[in-house]
Amino acid sequence: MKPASPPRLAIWLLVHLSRSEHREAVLGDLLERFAEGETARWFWRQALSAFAVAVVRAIRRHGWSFAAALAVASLVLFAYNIASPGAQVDRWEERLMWSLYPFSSPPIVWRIAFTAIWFFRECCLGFAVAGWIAARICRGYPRLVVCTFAGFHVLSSMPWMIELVKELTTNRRYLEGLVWYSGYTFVSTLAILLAGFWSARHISGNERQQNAN
Amino acid sequence: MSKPGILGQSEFLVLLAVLRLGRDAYGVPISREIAAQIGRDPAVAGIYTTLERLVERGLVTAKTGEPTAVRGGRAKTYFKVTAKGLRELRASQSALQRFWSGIPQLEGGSS
Repeated sequence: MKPASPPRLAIWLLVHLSRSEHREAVLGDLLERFAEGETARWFWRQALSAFAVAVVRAIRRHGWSFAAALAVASLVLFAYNIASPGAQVDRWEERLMWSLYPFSSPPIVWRIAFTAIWFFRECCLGFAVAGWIAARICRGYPRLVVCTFAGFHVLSSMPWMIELVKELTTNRRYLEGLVWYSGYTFVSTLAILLAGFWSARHISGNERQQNAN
Repeated sequence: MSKPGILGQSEFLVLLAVLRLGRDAYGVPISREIAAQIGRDPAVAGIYTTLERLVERGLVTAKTGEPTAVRGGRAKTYFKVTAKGLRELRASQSALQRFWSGIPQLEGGSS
């Protein structure tokens, strides 16, 4: 059965990622055809083609800054992984725990707190910084570049994910790894998107203020 | 005045669809007209990219219409082929016809 309203996420993509002067007309046309009987699948296909068209357009008009944003964000992630701040934090955690609880195991609150810090460090921090920087560099299309970077991140994790799924068919032990890796990919992608959009929001806010002045 | 070049395939399709539709040429009927001719549903955003290019080249003019409820309050954009657009279409058509003629494999309908 055809849903009553078109997919909201697809509409959001059309509204926020395209900078075409006919953006409103495109969205109006898609809504009109959906009301006339097109399916949600058709609507998604059209929204994704609009996204692809917007990427090509952004590369044509802001090619250098678009490419530079993707390259710098990738370098930031690479540098973060190389620098591995995790090892240092682990040492601090060990010292702190040793000084507070030299002869007993730390209480559960401490353990939860350090697990949260570890999770934030591994899955969020580097990705959030990379997403934030990508939006700052490509100011013409900040949301689009952040989505493209997040898309590349998801694509780059696919080979490992497929490998884990293949291994799972022979050995159930890989299920834990697959769950962890899927969660890691989801949270890190979310970190890129949230930090990037937060940065993009500031950029458009500043632009509006400058136009008003 | 610069000599007009041969139009691209998407430009041909969009210009001819706009001409066929006359006063009712906006995104939805344009995409339907093209779908009827080529046999598959084109990407609406792709049609607008071509239209933007044609507007920039002065081959088509765009005019905003009234917003309607069925379009979620979004206005239609109507397009019209300019005199320059018509000239370029004719020039491209005759250039292609010249290029087309004199090829034995394409004449008479047999392979």
